[in-house]
Amino acid sequence: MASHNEEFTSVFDAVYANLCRFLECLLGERAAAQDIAQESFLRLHRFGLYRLPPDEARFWLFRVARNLALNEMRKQRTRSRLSAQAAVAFNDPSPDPEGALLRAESNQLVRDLLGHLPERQRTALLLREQEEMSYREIARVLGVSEGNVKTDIFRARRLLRERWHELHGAAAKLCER
Amino acid sequence: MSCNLTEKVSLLLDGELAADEAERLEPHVTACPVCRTAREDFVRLRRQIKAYEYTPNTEARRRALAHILAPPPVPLWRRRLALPVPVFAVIGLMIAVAVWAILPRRTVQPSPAPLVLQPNDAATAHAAQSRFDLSRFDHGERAEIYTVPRAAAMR
Repeated sequence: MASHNEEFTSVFDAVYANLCRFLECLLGERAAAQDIAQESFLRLHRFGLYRLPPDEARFWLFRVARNLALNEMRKQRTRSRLSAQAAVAFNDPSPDPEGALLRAESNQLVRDLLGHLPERQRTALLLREQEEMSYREIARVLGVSEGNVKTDIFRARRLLRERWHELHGAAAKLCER
Repeated sequence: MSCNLTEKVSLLLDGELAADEAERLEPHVTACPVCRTAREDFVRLRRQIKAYEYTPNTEARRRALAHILAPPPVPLWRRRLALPVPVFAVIGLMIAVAVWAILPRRTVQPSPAPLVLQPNDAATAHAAQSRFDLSRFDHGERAEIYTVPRAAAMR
C-alpha cells in the first residue's frame, strides 16, 4: 500500500502542474482547473495506478480531465474573466507584482486566443505545444484518428494566426493614432 | 497569396513528416515566402503558448494530494465502535434495566374457591348428585346378550 502511494505521489508530482496548466488554458479558469485536476487524480487513485500499463497514466489523466472539462463547459459555470485574472495575480507567489501582472496579461492573451478555437482544436493544439505529445498520443487522448489530429492542429494554427494578425494590426493602428 | 503546402509546414514543425519528405520540403519552405511566413508565425505562436506560466499554489497542491490519498469515508452502517469494557458494561446494564422496566410483568391472579358441598343444602346436593346419576339413560329396555363363538369373533 505504501509503495502504491509512493508511486502515485511520483506521478502526481510529475503531472499535476501540467494538467492544471492544460485545464486552465482549456477552461480559462484557475479554480475549476484545480478542481478538475484533483478529481482526475482521485479517479486514478480509485481506479488503481497498477492497473494501467507503464507510462499510460499521463494519457489516462489527460483523457479523463478533458472529459470532465467538457462536462464543466456544458454546465456553463464559467465565472467572470475579471475574477479569473484577479485569481491569477493573487495566487502568484512571486514577490514581484509587476512581473506577476505582465505574466497575467500574457496568460490572458493566450487564453483569449485559444478561446476562439473550437474545443477539440484547442485541446489538440495544447497537447501538442505544451505537453509535446505526438499526433498518435493526442489521438489516443482525444479518441480520434491521427488524420483528425493533423487537420485539427493545422486549422487551429491557421485560425490563431489570423486572430494574432488581427490583434497586432489593431494594436499597430492604435499606436499610429 | 497562398500555397497548398502550408499544411505540410505544420507537420514539418511537429516532426510528423517522414525524413525523405521533410528533406524535400525544407528547400521549398526556405524559398516560398508564404510557407516561410507561415512557419515563422507558427513558431511564434508555439512560443507564446508554451510561455503560458502556471505556478501551482503549493498549499492547494499539498491539500489536493492529501485529499486524494485519504482513505475513502466508511458508511455509517460499516463503522466500528471501540469503547473500553466498563463503558460497554454500563451500557449493557442500562439496556437491561430499560428492558426490565418496559416489559409487562406477570401478576398472580387469585384462584377460584373450590366448590364445597354443604350437607344441609338439599337442592344443591341433589343437583350435584344428579350429574352422576346414570338412571336418566335407562329407558326401561332390556339388554340382549348375544353369544358369539370365539372362533367366529376372531375371523
